[in-house]
Amino acid sequence: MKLLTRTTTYYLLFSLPLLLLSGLFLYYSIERALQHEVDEELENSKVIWIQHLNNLPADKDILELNNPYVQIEKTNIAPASNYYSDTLVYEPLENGKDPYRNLTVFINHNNQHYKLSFQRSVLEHKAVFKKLILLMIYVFGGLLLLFLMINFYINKKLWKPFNTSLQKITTLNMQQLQQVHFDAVAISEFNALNNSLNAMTKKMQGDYLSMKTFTQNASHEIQTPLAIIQSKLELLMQDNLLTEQQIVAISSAFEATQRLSKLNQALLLITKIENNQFEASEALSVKGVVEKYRSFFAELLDQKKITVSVNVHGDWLLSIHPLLADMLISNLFSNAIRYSSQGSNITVEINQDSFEIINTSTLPSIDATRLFQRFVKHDSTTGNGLGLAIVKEICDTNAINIRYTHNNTTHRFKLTAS
Amino acid sequence: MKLLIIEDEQALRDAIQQYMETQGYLCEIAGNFEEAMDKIDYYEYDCIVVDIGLPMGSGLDIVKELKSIKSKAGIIIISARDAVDDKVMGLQLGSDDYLTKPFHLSELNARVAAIIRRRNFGGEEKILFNEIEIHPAAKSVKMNDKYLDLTQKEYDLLVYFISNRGRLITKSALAQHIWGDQYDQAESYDFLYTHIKNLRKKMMESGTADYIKNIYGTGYKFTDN
Repeated sequence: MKLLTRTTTYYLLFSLPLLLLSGLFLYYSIERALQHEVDEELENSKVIWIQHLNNLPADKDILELNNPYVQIEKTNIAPASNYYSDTLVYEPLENGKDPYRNLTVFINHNNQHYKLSFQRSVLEHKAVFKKLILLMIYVFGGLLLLFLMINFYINKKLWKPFNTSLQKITTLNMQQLQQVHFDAVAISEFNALNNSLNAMTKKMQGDYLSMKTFTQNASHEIQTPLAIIQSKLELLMQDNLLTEQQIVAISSAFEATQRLSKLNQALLLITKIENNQFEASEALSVKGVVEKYRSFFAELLDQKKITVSVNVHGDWLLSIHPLLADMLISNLFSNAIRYSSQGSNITVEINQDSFEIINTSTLPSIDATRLFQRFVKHDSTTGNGLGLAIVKEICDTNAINIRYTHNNTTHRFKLTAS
Repeated sequence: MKLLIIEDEQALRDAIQQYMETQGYLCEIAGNFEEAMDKIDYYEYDCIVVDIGLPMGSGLDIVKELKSIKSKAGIIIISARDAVDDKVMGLQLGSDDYLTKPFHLSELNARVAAIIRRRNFGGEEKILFNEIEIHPAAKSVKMNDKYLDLTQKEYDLLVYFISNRGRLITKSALAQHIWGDQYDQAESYDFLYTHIKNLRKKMMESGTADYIKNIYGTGYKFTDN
């Protein structure tokens, strides 16, 4: 969930019940205030009427004083306490019942008990109340919306430097590290964050560059003497006076320098991969790379009478440096060929997000913990024991999962997008 | 044919010079940047072999200079740095080829020969060796005036052999030439043997002498004596 969505949600979560509570409070307060108003008016009428009744001659029949505002009737009940009540009164003009507030008062006149009912329409009050509530809803709704917008805007503005930095970090590319700078901002916390990020990227850039220089220099310093040894041996071999023994000796020295050179290149390659010196390119078709190496290894396959079945259920498009894609597939392929039994079958399964290579071999399962370690060879073949280490390194730096499973005679390497 | 070898490591420079001279080239050498710049400004060469890492300058600047003076020389960069960027940069600047150290002298020789053929004759020149006649442009091979049907790899092997005639060529050099850098994925040179056996058979059947000699199991020599 985005930060902005979350703050807005929290804001709503807290402000909605608050608004609802204050709304309810206002509703009841207004209702009470309006009722109080009516009751007060009724009370006033009562006081005036009772005063008026008290001033009347004793023989006056007060039932004659009946009018729409006060109904007077005889009662046998002894004077009880006054009470208020709500009632509906038929209104002939509107042919309907209107709500009225009623005050019942008991009095004694000439030793006769009377019940006085004072009435007042609350229709207008109800209308006013309704209008007030509606207004309240509008105002509250409007305020809520306005606050939401302000909150949204403030948050957006406040977090902007953070988001800018975040954007820079997530798109960080080792090759372009020196161009990355986190600018100073007004908010001290973000400023501190950016300063730390600047320090960190500077350190990373330094490490990256020194590692890059190291691999280049190491490569140069080792390959140059090897080149000299190799060329001198090659020249030496041209001497027609050499005996067979001497030629064979020179030749094996020559082969050894080749191995040393390949080993050096492989180790430097691993270092470069670890150091992210290979930038991922646009999406590369795994199917394409597999096809390429299938024909590349054709002779090797023929020699061991190995058949290859490639089942394509969908092409996996990998965002990876082309050289690494080649290394990855060719290493797994040659590994499968190397450990396959004569005349067996290699199956390659390609899916939209996975690649599997399965070979059959009578060799026992490989110890999973040592499988991807450097210089671990599983038999005495000519490999340098770095192939699978390179494969693992490529997977680790390119968000690919690699899993090895073994079942009877089948050995399976599965790559999936992680 | 005149070559310029620009390489700061004297031992390697000498080895290249020695090998190329036995192949009939006239070799001049330069051990540093200044010397190299002077030579390319004053003299014309058919092909220039240039190392990238030189004292007091970069081989890439020499390539730039060669291009700016519109030199007709072919250019091969040799570098101990196997960096992809360097390779791409070198080829973009206009060099014809790129070799990573360590390399086989026979490979360097074959590439120099190919560049000179392309540059000087537009690939029209024939490669001749006794009764063998190769037309690189058409990739066709005639032996005793009869066309010989060779596979791509057999053809590549034959051209490589003739370019390095009389030299002992190691099996690793042949394998690397035919299969490229990834040849070491293979376990042995067995299939190299198969290709050479087939090539030999086809040549013998067309009435050619057996020029391909196996030298004590270490490599091959293409020779008529």
